[in-house]
Amino acid sequence: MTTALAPEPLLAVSDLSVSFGGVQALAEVSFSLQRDEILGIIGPNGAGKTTLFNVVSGLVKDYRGSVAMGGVDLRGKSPQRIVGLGLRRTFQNVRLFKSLSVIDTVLAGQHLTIRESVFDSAFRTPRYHRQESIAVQRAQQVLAFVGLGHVAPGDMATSLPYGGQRRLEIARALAGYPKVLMLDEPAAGMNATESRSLGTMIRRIAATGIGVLLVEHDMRVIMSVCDRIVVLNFGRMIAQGTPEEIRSDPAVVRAYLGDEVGA
Amino acid sequence: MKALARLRAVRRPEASSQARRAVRVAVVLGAVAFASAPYWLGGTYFPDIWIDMGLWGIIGVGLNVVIGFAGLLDLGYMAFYAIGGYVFANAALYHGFNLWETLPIGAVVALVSSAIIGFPTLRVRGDYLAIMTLGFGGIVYFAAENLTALTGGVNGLYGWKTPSLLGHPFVTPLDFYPFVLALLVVAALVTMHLRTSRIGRAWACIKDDEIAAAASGIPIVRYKLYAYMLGSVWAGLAGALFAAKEALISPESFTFDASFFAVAIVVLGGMGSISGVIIGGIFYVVIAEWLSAYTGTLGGVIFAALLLLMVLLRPQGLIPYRPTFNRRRLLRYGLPEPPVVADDYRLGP
Repeated sequence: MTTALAPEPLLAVSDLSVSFGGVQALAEVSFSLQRDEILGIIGPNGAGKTTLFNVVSGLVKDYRGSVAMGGVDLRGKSPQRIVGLGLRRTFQNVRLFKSLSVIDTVLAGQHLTIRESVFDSAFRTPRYHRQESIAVQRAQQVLAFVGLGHVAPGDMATSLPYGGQRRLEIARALAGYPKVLMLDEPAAGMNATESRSLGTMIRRIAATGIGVLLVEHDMRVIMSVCDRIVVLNFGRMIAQGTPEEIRSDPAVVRAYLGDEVGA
Repeated sequence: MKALARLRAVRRPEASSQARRAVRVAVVLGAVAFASAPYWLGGTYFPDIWIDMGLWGIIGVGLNVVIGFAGLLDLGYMAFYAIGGYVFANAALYHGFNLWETLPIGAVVALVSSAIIGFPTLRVRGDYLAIMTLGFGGIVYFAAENLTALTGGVNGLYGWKTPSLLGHPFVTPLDFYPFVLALLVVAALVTMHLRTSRIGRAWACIKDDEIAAAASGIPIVRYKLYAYMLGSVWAGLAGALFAAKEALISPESFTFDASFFAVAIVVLGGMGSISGVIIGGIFYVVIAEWLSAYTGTLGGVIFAALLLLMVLLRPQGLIPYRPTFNRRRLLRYGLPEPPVVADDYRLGP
């Protein structure tokens, strides 16, 4: 995957540095994400994982280095533009819309792909009906894909159990035909069975050709799901490689154990 | 026992849909009876009251788009009512336009002016937006009082030719009533349609969580502007009808109180609920205007007390909006047999 002949990466981050005031949040971080690849990003708290997500999704604009998606430089692009280029994300603390039903949540995720104008909506033109039909059917399939096919589509999004809400957030992101999907601690608060089936689902997502960027603290999920792992510590990339390489990397072991001992 | 349980399971949805249909028929008949009341009550007094209810209903439906759908607190909504009224008055008085020719112009002017006002203001959030719209309402009020050349100042504008349609002049309130009713129905239908569509979902997202909305690719400021414009246009239309019916327009109809009552109608009726805000308009007219004809200022006090009770005991309003995805919509648009388990490695059309 990392040979010189590899196809153009979905996401290429090179020499990325961010500092807030005097704090160096990220320093010269470089990695790339290919199609149908799952790239794990791990590191102790404060390592810069969230900052990295915020730079890629366009929330942090003041950085050095470059971030490109499918060959398009993301510098200066608004978060919405970046979403339009094919980047979707979920949030560490679930952010669902409290006044939307399960299926409406997934329809909202298709905002950029539903082609109906205000006129179509107001006067229910044939195009409105066609577009709604396409969108609702897609929503039903995406819901089944994330394992929510049995849920009543009219139920409120926030009435789902916690694990269901996490899955629904992923469904909302998937519905918008992403090229890159960023998952921010999707297994947080899940038990072993739930996180195992979540891992299976993430593998299936990658198998559809989507590049997945996964930030996660649950090492079982990270080690069993990721193709490659990037390890951050104090904003620096201290290791990069397959799960086996990372597991036996002395710098990684030191960073994690050192943290424990130091605390 | 088992057979009985099965029978009950089969019959329950049937019975409930039948009961639901009976309720729906009763509600429709009741609404038709209520809406046609001015015709069998006769005179000019009742039609006048019903026109008031209709106009406040339209105001409620329009402001509901801004407050109920998009979650923007607008304290200067009646400015667009004033703009619609003065556009009609000027067109009728100086350019000889008929009411029916002016209505689309009033709508366009309300749209354009709301775009001009909304473009800079909708970038601010929450309380600041409320303050800015409050200021805008005040500016329009003082402009109406002082831009004498356009508005006739405190005396207002009057004396245009009676509007007529197909040779039939519009003199009594009963002549205007069907048009108020028609505009109310159109406003209710259009906003109902907007709510269950791409734009309505985008508004709900923005109201609930702007960060998550942006992460779904929804342009926040642009959709707030759409809500502001598509809400204001109904006030513009209602204002023109109001001026035509009164045969007079003056600043006293657009004081801050009016904008406040418009917000009160939406809160009382139920934010987001279209039938709720129409009933809110009816309630407002009955209590604050009709009652005060007998009790003086007490009507206003009763309305205020009712509003307080409402906010304390039933903050969701008289007829709360319950967002659900309608089963019929699912049958119409969805797959005939929606998948329950994932079709491995495929993600639908």
